[in-house]
Amino acid sequence: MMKPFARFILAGSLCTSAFLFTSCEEIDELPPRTEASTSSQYYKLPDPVLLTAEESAQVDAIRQEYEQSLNQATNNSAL
Amino acid sequence: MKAIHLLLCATMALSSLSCTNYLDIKPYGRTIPKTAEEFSALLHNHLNKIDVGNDRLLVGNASQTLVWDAGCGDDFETCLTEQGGSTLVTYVGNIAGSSNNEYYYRDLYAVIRDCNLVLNEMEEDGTDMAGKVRATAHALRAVAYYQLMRMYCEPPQAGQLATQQGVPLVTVFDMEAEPLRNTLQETIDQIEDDLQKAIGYHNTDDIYRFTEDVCKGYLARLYFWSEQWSRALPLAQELEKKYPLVQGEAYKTMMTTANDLAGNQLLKAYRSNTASSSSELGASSKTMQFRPVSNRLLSLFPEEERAKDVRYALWFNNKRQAIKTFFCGMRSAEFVLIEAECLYHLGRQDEALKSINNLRRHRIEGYTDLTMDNLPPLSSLEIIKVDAEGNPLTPLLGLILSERRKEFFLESDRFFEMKRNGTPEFWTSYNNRKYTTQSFMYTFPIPLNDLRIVDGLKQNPGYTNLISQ
Repeated sequence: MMKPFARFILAGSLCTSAFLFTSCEEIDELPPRTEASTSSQYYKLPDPVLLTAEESAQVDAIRQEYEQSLNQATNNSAL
Repeated sequence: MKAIHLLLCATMALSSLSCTNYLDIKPYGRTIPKTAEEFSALLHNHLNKIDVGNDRLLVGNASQTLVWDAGCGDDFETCLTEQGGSTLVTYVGNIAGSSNNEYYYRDLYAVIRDCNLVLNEMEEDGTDMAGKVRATAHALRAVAYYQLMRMYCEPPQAGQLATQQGVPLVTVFDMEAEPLRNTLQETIDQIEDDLQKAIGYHNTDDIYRFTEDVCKGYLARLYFWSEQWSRALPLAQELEKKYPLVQGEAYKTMMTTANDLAGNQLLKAYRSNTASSSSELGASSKTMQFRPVSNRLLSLFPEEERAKDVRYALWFNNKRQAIKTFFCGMRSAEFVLIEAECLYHLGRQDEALKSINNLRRHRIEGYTDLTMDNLPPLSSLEIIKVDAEGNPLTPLLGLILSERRKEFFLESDRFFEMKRNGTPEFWTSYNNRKYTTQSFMYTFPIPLNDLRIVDGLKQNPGYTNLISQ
């Protein structure tokens, strides 16, 4: 007579322990998100644009001046 | 019955083992500070970051210097960037519209939070240690607010400081607080108050880095930024006298010393030479080789002066690459330049010229003083056209600003000088695209998260279009 009762107690205590072991997890306290996440948003700044012909010429002039100065420096070193 | 008792006892024993964590009242492995020494750990965390080069904003580091100077300023020629320089910032818009901006804001307020904890929670008082810790807390908080002001507030306009937007001022640790933006005048007052309090402790212990003289230097910087010329001048002159200019070999040694304070340096990052700091310095030095220095800067060194100006050979090689040893900190030449510009704005032109001649004499071998009659003309390549007060540049002020630009090349100064002097708009090119730095971009946006959390927090002008990824 005691054996089934003991089994019942054992099963009950095992279940109770299992509930207690799993019962102390952190509760999710955050309310459900209603707005879009700000981490996925950012400020849109003006897009870069293609250079005009005049601007391209300015960039080319900068590059030309730079290459000339490098050549000059190389020649001076050789001398 | 015995079995039932045993089972009940076992059940109770198991249940008492299952929920131990919530009974802990202390975080594991941490200490709640009580003494000044324990509170100082909060500050040494930030000081150590400065020493090993992990701090981007209080004093700065090489990586951040490249952001400001190679990216946001115009001392480097972005359109000539080679493939190895693809990680360099193209223009200031890359920062203003990126997550980096949020990290800057967050990191500076993290420093302020720790300083507030020290100043409000530390009960120890009257001891030497407590004085040093409080002084450092005031200093660090002031420097954090100073950087926030320079980055997130528009340049000061004389007579309008009480209406211009400042930053939210938080002086007490409160997780529930939702502060709105104070005015720029209130922000300046807070920084001044903190620095004065730090100075009042007369801390000379270098281990805390922000000594009395360093705090005076920051006070001079604050007055200078906020156009309080008559207040900046005596401080600059006092510090210049205490830390005189050096020249020749002494200057070369000072500017090439990587870790220790040298010459008239008061404050410096990378005081600790670690593997990670060496690696970061090396990587930054290597990356900046792929973006040549601009002719706009080089043209400030006249051909006849290049061989005689000690800075030219120290800063650049013949491939127009920057070879300057990174310096992030504070040194005496800044006080000379503050003195010169303050004298200029106070109408004392002759004394301003004398001051700038003093600096040039320490930099150019065989130098002959310039006079009012033979000042060099304004450079046509200079994009700054007006001064901090909005007046057109004169040859004398142009000389002062160009000397500052030459002296503080690669010291995170140029971008803020451009902001201080009229926020000039200019464009640069990369991969055949034109990137325009507009005036509003000199002031970074308040992070979106803060705008959402705090009702009524105002954004800076120009940041209106939001898009989702």
